[in-house]
Amino acid sequence: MAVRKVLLYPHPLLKRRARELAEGEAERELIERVAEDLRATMRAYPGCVGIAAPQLGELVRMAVIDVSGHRKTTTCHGELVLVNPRIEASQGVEVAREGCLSIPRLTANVRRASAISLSARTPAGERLSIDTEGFEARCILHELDHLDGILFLDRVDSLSRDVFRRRTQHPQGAPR
Amino acid sequence: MLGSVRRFALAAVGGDRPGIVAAIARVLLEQQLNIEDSQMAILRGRFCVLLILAGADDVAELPLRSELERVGAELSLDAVVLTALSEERARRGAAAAGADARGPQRRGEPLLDSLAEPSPSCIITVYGADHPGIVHAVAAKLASAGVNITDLQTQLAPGQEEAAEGSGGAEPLERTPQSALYAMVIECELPTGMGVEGVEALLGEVRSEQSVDISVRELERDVL
Repeated sequence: MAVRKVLLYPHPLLKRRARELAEGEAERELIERVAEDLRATMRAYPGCVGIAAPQLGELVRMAVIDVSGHRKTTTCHGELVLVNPRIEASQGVEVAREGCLSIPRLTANVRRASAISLSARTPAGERLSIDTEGFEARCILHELDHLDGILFLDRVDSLSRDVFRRRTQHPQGAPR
Repeated sequence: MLGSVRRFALAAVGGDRPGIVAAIARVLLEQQLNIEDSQMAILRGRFCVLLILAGADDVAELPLRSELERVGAELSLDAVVLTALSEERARRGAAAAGADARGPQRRGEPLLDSLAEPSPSCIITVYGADHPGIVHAVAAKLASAGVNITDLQTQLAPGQEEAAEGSGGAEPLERTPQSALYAMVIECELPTGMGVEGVEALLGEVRSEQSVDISVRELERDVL
């Protein structure tokens, strides 16, 4: 288990599509290693609620999300380690402010679905099916975007209305 | 307002401080000019004002200019520029270029009426490591295809310093050095027959030549 370096934009891997992972035992070792690294790295950044494998330079469809204890959290499934996650259904629209470890100097208002149904596998290969909404849904959608090479800047409508420079170094800017 | 209307464009730039808007607005009010449309913003510490003004046909232009000059000097503004707008001229210019003043705007045609409202339908986001030439490369490509830019904003986010070392006793993390990030969001009106895919294709070369990331989306229509 290792805290890994987080790639910063414009690192080219952040704009690539990550590949699906094989089911069964074939890639179990890789999945477990990436899962541990994602967990450890997320925990190293105070206030970090999610991280996706491409941010560590691993172009595989995995992400970790944990919104436990966050002040914006309404629905919470605890720590979610997602392998090959897929949005099965989504509804509603909400705009809220997002930041990203890979674009540490900016934050932006991003429009996303307010409720989602998600399917995925756990690192152990079990099927996972989750309905969630609000902040947790937003975090999942943000991390899933990383798996397709999409950053929050790709979803912004207006630089003057929606994008903000971080005035002070956000806690997420430096690992603990 | 009865009778014919005279319009002006006013641009002003100055070091940001309280009172700029108040001073300019007072002059305009005294000269009975309406502020029809305006945009004001702080760009890199300079307060920038852009106004379209309307007044009566017999608006006293000389006192207006001298008052604006006085305000500019008083507030140490970098520039105050007032220009009379001639809608007649704009229309004739378009007619001379062979445009049909009633038809929808077509590829490469100028806006026909200086007050005509464009109908933007597309948002283009461009971002990448800062370097000269990004705005020109994108704008030139759009212009060549008759895409009309209706709104353009850029922002420069400073580069990220290396992660602070030794904080909290944890091993300092190695992070990839980050150059300054240049971001541009363009709202634009597409010529008839061009869609989002057309814009994508148009900007494909710019993406690789400028090493920037570009995404193109349809502008979301208001549903209510």
